[in-house]
Amino acid sequence: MTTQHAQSPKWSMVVDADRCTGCQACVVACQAENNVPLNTDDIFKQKRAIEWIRIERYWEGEYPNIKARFLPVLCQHCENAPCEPVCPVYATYHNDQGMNVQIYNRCIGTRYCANNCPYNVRFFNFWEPVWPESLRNQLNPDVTVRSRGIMEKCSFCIQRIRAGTRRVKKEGRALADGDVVPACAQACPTDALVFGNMHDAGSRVRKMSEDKRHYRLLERSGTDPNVIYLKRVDPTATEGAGHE
Amino acid sequence: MPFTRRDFLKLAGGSAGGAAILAACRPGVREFIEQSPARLPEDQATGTDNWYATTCRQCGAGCGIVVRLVEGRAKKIEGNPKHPVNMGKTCARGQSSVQAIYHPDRIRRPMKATGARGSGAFREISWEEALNILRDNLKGLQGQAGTVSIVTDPAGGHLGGLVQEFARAQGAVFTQYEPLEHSTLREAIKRAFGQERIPDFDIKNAAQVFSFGADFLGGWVSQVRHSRGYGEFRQGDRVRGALTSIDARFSSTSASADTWVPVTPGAEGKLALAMAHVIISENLGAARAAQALTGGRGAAALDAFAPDRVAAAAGVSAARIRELARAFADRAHQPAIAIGGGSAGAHTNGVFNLTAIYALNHLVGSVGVRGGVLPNPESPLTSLPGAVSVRLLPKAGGAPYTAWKAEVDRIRGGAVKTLLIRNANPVWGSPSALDVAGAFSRAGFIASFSSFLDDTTYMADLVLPTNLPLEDWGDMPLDPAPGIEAVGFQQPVVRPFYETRGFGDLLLTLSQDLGYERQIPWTTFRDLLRDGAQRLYQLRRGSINAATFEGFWNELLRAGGWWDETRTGTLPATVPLLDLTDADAQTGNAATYPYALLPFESISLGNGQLAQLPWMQATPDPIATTTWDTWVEVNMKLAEEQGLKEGDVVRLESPSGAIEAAVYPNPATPPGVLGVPIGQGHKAFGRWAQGRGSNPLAILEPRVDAKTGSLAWAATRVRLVPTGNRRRIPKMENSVLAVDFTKEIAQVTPKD
Amino acid sequence: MPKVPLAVKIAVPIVGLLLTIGVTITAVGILKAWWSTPFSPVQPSGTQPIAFRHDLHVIAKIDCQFCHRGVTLTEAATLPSVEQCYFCHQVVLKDSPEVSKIAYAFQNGEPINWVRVHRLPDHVQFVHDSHVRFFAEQNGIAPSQACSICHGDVGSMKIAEQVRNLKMRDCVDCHRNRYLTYLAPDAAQRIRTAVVEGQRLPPPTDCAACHY
Repeated sequence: MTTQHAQSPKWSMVVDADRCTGCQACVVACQAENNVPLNTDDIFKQKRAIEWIRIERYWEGEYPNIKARFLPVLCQHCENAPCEPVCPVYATYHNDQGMNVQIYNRCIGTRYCANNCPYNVRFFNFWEPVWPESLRNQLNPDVTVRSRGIMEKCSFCIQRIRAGTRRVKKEGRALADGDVVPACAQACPTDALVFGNMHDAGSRVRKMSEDKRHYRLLERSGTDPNVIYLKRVDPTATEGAGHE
Repeated sequence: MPFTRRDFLKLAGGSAGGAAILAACRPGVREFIEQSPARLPEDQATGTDNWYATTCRQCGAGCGIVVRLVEGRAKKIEGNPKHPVNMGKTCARGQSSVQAIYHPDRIRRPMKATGARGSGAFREISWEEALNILRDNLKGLQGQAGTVSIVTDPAGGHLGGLVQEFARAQGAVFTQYEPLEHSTLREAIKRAFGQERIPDFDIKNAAQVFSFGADFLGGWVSQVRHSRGYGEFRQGDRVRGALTSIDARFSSTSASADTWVPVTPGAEGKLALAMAHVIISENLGAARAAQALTGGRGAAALDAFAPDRVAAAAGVSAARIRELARAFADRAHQPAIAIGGGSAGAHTNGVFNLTAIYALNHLVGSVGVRGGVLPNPESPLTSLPGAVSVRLLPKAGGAPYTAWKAEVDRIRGGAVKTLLIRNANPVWGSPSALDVAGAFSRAGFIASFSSFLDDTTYMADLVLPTNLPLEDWGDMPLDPAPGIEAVGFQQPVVRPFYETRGFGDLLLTLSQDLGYERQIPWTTFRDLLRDGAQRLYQLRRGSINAATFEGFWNELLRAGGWWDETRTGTLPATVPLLDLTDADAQTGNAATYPYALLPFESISLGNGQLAQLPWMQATPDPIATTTWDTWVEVNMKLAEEQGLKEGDVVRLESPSGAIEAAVYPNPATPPGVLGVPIGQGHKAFGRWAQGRGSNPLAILEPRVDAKTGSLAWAATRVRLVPTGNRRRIPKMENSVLAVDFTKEIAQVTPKD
Repeated sequence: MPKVPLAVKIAVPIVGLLLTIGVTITAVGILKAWWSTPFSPVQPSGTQPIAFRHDLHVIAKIDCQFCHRGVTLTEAATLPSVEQCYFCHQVVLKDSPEVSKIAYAFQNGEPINWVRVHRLPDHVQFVHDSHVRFFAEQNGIAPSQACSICHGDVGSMKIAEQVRNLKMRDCVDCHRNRYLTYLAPDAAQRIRTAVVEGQRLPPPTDCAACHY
């Protein structure tokens, strides 16, 4: 048990767009960890695929001077989250660790939150998720399987946060950088995704968030996300390009 | 079922799960019998988690992984942080290996064909009956050389050695098969660096990387290792590295590059030599290497490849070539690495192309230096254990097309009475011009060792279901190694989910029954591996320090392999003379077939071997964001001119056949090129792959590289015929209805 | 008295009947949902495949943790594997007909399909080890003695059954204040003071502590 003044961590992620190669390792790792329903081809055609983290690809320029920009987009865990005030049943709220959490058993499926999310990172279960019986053996017991009619989204791998916190407590020490790693950041081959505690002055996220390349998605909208992006570097771009 | 000593220790001492990943990695010999929680369908089994280290076999890179197990079930793959290849990271494909275990369409027990060959009618039989059939069959062919043909996927290491030895004892022919093999790459590496082993590219410490056709961030050779280096190359603790991609197609690597230079397919080597011409004539590089490469003649030797002469053929202006050459040789930005591969090596002049590309490394002196091309040491395990004779282990890698064709023709000729196939799917992966299915129908008897009923196993008379890699023993002499001596070991982290057996164990059982004990004295594959590991133990160096072999073995499995960071590779001191023959790429008739067809390796399906997995099917292509289908990348302007819209189904016709695919207008596709992903078009392969999309490999013309006989899979030309049909392409792009704040979302800055 | 049209005369009772049926169905549904999910404490615990006697094992002074060895390590208390049962029972009472079922399962590599007694719904993540260790540490007792707070006196049960209803209210009540009542008075006071002074966090009542 800790004896110093108890302070909750503030979880945050830094995404370095200059490292991202768009390889999709994070996407599959997330699905494996979080029991995301199988995205069949019909689901894709109906534009209802669920990817808690997705890679957006933006084109810039014209052939042959064309550039593709990759950007991993996940729930931004906004401090001032537009999804929270519209939920009539308080199924989504901001907890004391800087996370926007989704309580599945409270959710009644109004989808107001998804409509109000400017990042489109909330996904609705339009169907009961089905896995062939044998595939259910792969499901992660630490994560609830969401049923039909329920909203879901990136949880910052809260089950790993819980497990990491418990482990640290058991070992009788304070949380250190790297004790909690979500599935996407764990897999990311280029280390473009870094996760950690913003309250820890020595953490990697804290240091990276002070990089001069840092920005937040839709900063003007005032959502104050806990996910911080570092700009892609392109020596051929002119200063100010990419800004509105 | 007796208690082993380990079971006893585990029970008596209790378990120590839940600790940090590697601290809890352990040899996973046998789990306890699963308990009921999972039998309750609405429940997910909960219990203690354990982490076991092993080697990933989803591609040939050999990354170290740790597998999370809860109550005996594999849940999640993570990278092994101590492993020198991937240092704790994984790719999308690696993540999916757990899904294969629980795939509902796995073959559950041995089967015997009941109908005509290829009808797909099978009856389940017992292992005893299956092995009896196979043994009787092989017994009848003993002493008749060449009547048995064994075809496997790339099987290096001890498994490869075992197959080789079994083939020798039986008098069988052993061929390794993979759809897109790397023989041109190996040959070029051998010519450029004097040794066949693929070197380690020290991307992490390089100042510049020039990639010619090699999609090294997208699945080429060792994606995770390259990506690991790439992250540091861009934003490590030094000046940001610059990446140039010279590629006929806009690949993942081109997308991540600072500069992409579209080049005419097959002209990559000429472009590289034109760059060499500039470097030598302007005296920008290492003079001694320039002398050696040109036989002392200097730039004059390369006059045929002067920028002005190459520009038209390569589709890159002479001024641009000079720019590229000067940038590459810029002394302020060294070391610079030139990597060649992929479609650049898949032409009739493949070896010429790749040799010219790798020679550029000599010109800027980046061979054998930190941040350059690092030679790899030879694996410490090169032969089978035992003193019978020196039995070299085969290199893991598919046979070149001409060798494969010779074997197929032998089968077609009726010389082969029995064909044994393991995990290889040539019926799907070979060009239809070769008509593998037709040839196989002439084989007397086909037995397939496979986990899934793929296109080839569908034709088998006897199906022997084998363990998946996570259920089986194995080893992997890493090729390419991570710059040091390294061997990956693979242990069964879960019990076989169905009544499957290990291929190695099956061969050993057969060897016993057929009387080959003298040559093959082991009874289980684990024994064979232990004998191999014994030799690593006797080296008394490297990452594992143990007093006894038993301790060494446990540590070997706990760590997922053995490596010795002090043993790096060395290169012959000489720089080779460039071979300038076969410079021109032969392709089809550009008048009747106006487009170059560039099949490309899917980032998720690989070369088709992972098409059965729904996670992999649903993984969006990084560029097109498409899933679950076969699409053809058509230049956006060209598509507009031709009146083609996204989803229009077109027929791609080559002289060797035709396939249908849906049009994906891609603004970055060069107008003369059509890119089609490899992986779909399976006639069988489980519910998620069967009958989905089409296979571009089927319509390849059987052209080969002049020097190795390797299939020139990028040298087919096609024409594009609209069918008038349309279908919606399942894709991620525009799937989420985002407000268009592109510019604000993906911001860039010119300065670091 | 105004004349009521025939249509209304017929419609009113029909509407009333339909309303009554609707309300009844809804009420039954709600009640059923309440009592059946997660479960009802009045439900019998079902027949186990082996007549396992918790009381005999407790009398034999076998610690809870000896079989449920995950209880201080992980979320789940875990059921013992067949090997673990067989480890003792290849010697102890090996001729008893019930015990011989273990030998059969072991020799045939089959699991024993125990019927689950305590079940929380899927969307609840209960963690045994934190709870057990909290009570054991504060009271200075063996972890297994802490089990009885939720599971009752298993030592007196022939067949294990559920004694608490384990609904969310039960959990939250305990997390809010009742947890102190299970502690020795001085330990309770110590914790109360620490929480008030901000030295330690009270038990979490954040939804996402258990629901994720």
